[in-house]
Amino acid sequence: MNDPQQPRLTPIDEWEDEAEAMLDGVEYDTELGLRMARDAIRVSNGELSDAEFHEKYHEEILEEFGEDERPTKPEGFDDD
Amino acid sequence: MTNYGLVIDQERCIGCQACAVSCKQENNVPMGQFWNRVLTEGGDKIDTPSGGYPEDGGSGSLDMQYQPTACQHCENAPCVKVCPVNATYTRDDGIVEIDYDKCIGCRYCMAACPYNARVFNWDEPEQMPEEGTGDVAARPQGVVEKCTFCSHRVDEGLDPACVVNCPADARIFGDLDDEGSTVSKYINEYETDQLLEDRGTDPKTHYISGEMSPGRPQTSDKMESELDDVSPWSDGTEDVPSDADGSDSSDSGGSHHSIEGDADPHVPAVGSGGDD
Amino acid sequence: MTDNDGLYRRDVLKAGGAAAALGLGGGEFLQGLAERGDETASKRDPSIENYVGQNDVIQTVCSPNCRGKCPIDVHVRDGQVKKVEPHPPEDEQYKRACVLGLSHTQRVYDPTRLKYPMKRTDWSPDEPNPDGRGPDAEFERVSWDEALDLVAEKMQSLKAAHGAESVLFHEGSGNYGQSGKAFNRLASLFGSTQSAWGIDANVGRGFNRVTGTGFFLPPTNEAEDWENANTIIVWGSDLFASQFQMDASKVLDAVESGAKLVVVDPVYTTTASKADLWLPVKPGKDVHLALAMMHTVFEDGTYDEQFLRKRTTGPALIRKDTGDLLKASDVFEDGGENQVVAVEQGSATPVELEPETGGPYALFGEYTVDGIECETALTRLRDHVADYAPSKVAAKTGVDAENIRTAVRWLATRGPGGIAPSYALGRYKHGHIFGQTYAMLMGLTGDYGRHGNIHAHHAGGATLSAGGWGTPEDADPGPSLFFPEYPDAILDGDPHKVRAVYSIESNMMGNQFPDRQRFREAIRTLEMYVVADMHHTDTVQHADIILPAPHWFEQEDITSSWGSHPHISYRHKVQEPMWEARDDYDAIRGLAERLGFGDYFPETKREMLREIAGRDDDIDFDTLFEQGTQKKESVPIVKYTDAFPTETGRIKMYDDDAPSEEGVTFDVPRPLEDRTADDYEKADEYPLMFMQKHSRFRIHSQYEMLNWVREVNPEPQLDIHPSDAKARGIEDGEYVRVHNDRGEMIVKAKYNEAFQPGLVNTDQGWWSRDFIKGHHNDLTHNEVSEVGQTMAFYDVRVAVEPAPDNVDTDTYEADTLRGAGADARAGGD
Ligand code: SF4
Ligand code: SF4
Ligand code: SF4
Repeated sequence: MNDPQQPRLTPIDEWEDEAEAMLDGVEYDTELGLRMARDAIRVSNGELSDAEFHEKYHEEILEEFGEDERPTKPEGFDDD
Repeated sequence: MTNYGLVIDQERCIGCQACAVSCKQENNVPMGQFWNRVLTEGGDKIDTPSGGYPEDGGSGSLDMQYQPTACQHCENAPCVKVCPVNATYTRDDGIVEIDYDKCIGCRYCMAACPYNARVFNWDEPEQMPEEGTGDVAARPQGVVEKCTFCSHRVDEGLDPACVVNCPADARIFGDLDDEGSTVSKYINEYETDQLLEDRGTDPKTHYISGEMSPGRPQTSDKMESELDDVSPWSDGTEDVPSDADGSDSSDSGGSHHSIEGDADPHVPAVGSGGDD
Repeated sequence: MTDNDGLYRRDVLKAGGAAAALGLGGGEFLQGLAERGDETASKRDPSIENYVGQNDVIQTVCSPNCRGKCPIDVHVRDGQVKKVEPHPPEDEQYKRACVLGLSHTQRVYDPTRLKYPMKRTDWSPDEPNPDGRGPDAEFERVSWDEALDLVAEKMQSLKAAHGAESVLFHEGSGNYGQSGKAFNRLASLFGSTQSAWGIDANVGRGFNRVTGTGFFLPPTNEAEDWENANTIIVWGSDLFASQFQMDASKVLDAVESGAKLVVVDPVYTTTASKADLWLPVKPGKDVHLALAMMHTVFEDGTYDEQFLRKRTTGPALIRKDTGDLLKASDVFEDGGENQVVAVEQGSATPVELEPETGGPYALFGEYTVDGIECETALTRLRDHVADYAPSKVAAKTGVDAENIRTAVRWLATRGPGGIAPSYALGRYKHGHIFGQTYAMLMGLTGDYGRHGNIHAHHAGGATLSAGGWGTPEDADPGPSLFFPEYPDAILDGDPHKVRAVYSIESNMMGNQFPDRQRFREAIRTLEMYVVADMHHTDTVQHADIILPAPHWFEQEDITSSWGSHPHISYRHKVQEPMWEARDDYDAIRGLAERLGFGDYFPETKREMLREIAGRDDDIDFDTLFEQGTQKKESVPIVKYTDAFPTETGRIKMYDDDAPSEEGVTFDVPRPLEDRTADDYEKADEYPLMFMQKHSRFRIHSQYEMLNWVREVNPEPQLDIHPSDAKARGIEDGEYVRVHNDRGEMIVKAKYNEAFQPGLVNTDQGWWSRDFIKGHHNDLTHNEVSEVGQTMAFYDVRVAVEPAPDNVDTDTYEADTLRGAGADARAGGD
């Protein structure tokens, strides 16, 4: 998986291909995983707030996983 | 608060792989997986330089440096944000960790980690020797795993395995919130980088490059914060606990211990070697 | 461990629910656990089962022939080795271990371990059926008694018929314990031929001609002192990857505090990547380069005059008529025949040169003494190197002239420093000349006997002095045979016929010796080949009798740290030998009993160790046993502080008794090359020089089987510069055939800009099973220089071409965990 003979980190622009391969065959929504991965970095960057991120994916997560236990949940967020 | 971090001095790192392999050993990491890899900043393969061999007898343009890379324990960890079941979480002391009981194997965290630090147990994990190694139990099939900063050791006051085993004193572990710690001092004094800084993940692993630091000589496996004047390895009796059951003596410099009784060798189940 | 003498054992500590315990650290730890209560162990991470503090920890020592000799802690839980950690020795700054020693957890249980004594099915003392040997040989299990009976019987009959010297006792370097001494003892008593070292002795021999010390690499200051160096010239060594990596921090600390690190190497190695200056010398041109450095020192006048006068024969006079040094007996009535003579500046009056005595001696000039025309040794040397100006040798050596000057100026003018050459230089046929040259160069710069001086790429270390235990006084030892002489002895009876070999601690004859096919041919004519080993190596596969040796963790022993660190270590047993593996000592003793020498061997190994240790005044057996390591206080940190053990007590700047070979005399250093020579006859046919670097992934052929390491470094490769590869139509990662007039191998090409065009490399230490075809030692040769008597592994030429289409490379293409070794050769069969 992470090859000890790989010389260096995968450059960020090739990362998505690699991420896609990782998610390949997963029982859950691959495309959702990729979108969330992209946006999680935007959260790290400060382009998106935790709350925005949480809300943006809340419905989809609930539908896919039946729960949403992410730590990004804003104060007073209505979970249902 | 405590906020653990790691400084890796790339000027000191000699690419020896002791950290990569001792990580596998300590953490019972399955064959085929690495939590910690020694990458090369250089050519297209590990252990090769960039640039070209000098044609004029001069020093030329060749360049190579090692970059040991594991989970960066990001302050703003994207993996934590995407985990729908909160299996990946950040501990109070800053260590990013996975609760394997909760992990459902969706691998969203792997996609979100820009450092390729995470591995997934596609199959039943295989260890060599089969019964496993090191000081933590193996993880089951179907979960994601990665570097824990050796939280099982840190919780007991010990430095991570990779830190203790680095022969170049290139790895320094400690509390970033403590201004007096070596990690804090080096981050102040030396030019340090974090990997993919522009991603805003704010890793707690910092790399020294440019000017070499004195490293941190490891003559003990204790964390810096646990060290008093006398090294636990020395003969100083002050450092030795008065034995719970009052064994008198023995610590007059003795640092040797044996297995009780006649240790029967363990004969492993060997796939191809047995003709018995 | 079964010993109960209570000398070192602490009562086993039990605390809370934790298991038995150990190690000062461990003990302390448990106390912590007890205080914190039961839930502490994994208070934060309920899903992580944590075994910290639950292991039995046994202090022992890792013991191959590397420069580590690392005291280690072995963690055992549930009767199984779980991990290895370094254990700081008595002087904790020498705490050490490498990726290999840390991986014994895998080695202990590897399927290649030998389990039972075996006999080749079609071998018997009377009918050896030598043709049955080789890759297809089959073995049957025998008892230890049967095995030893057979060996003893054959040894006796050979002795009766052909003399004891027809049996060769071959000892390798695969186990740095004391069993080898018992082996020598038995060999001496029986009168067999004994092995003499023919590897890595080249550079030391040359150095020895100048200074009176050195056989392998010469002694150098202990590692703790390297920090004091202001200039370190690492010559032909990747010391951060091989030999010195356990002490890497010592060199790094020197660099951190301002030392200049120079690396002379045709390869841009890990060490070169850390250097202030890298000199990309061409293979075989090192002597030219060192002479150019001397040239600069003379030209700049930066030689150390005081040192030259006090500690060298620089001022000694050479008779122009005979070329001999002028002796005191030539000019004084009662002058000594070995005493050399100088003149004082401004006079022509001769004075005798005493060791370690300075004076106003003239360093240069021509003088007529008692009517004899003379010149000083230094004058002769200066005139000799006049031909080697950096600008003149730049093209030949491949090194920029200004960089040559810079490197030596740092050495000569920045205070104490030194040159750290490797064994690689001695792996060229005439490598002894380099030893001579750099010894003299450091005489010029005065770099002996001071803090911060360095003379070899590994430290001095400590050796247990066992006196002559290996040669009892009443023994009549047989002759000895240099490694390179084996094939002629076995095949042609030159210098005498060898008919049987008993080998311990060695994978040499089947794997590590050069010109492997010829060694195999020799093996195939033996009447008996007995091999004791831990693993089923290629050498073992050629044996008639296989004796399974236990892993180091299963053998009690005392480990010397020659070349490593100044401690002697006790190798405590971690567990009893697995299967029927048995300590070499017990096998040797069993054999001795059968041969009638039983009385010479104490009943237990412990007794033998006690007896041997008793001969070393610095070591107290009980202290060593208890502490695990004992620093040998008599080991000087700084070397060369006393008179040199030469006839004059001084460094020889001129050698009037020098050996010569191929028409060249080494009175002063004169370059002599073999296959690297520009006009070597087969250079066109085999255009590439071939070296076999020592990598961080092997100690000789040991550790080949470590699966963790194989994940990082799965298979043998050919490092080749892309220009050399492309010129041959070879793609990166493609399999190639490497061949010459001795043999071939097929390995994967690795484009590598670090390698000088014209030079290719396969890291040494792979086993046959790792190759698609052939072996690196099918390409090397067994020709040695008369003077150096050292196998010249790197003085080899090859041609390289794409591998034929039909080779089967499945082993490495199939997605297996272990990479190679798909046919892991089982240990017992
Ligand atoms: S901190 Fe522990 S888990 Fe992380 S890389 Fe180091 S050894 Fe591995
Ligand atoms: S153990 Fe230290 S020197 Fe070795 S690769 Fe890791 S960081 Fe680098
Ligand atoms: S192989 Fe050598 S350097 Fe490595 S741990 Fe063992 S003794 Fe030390």
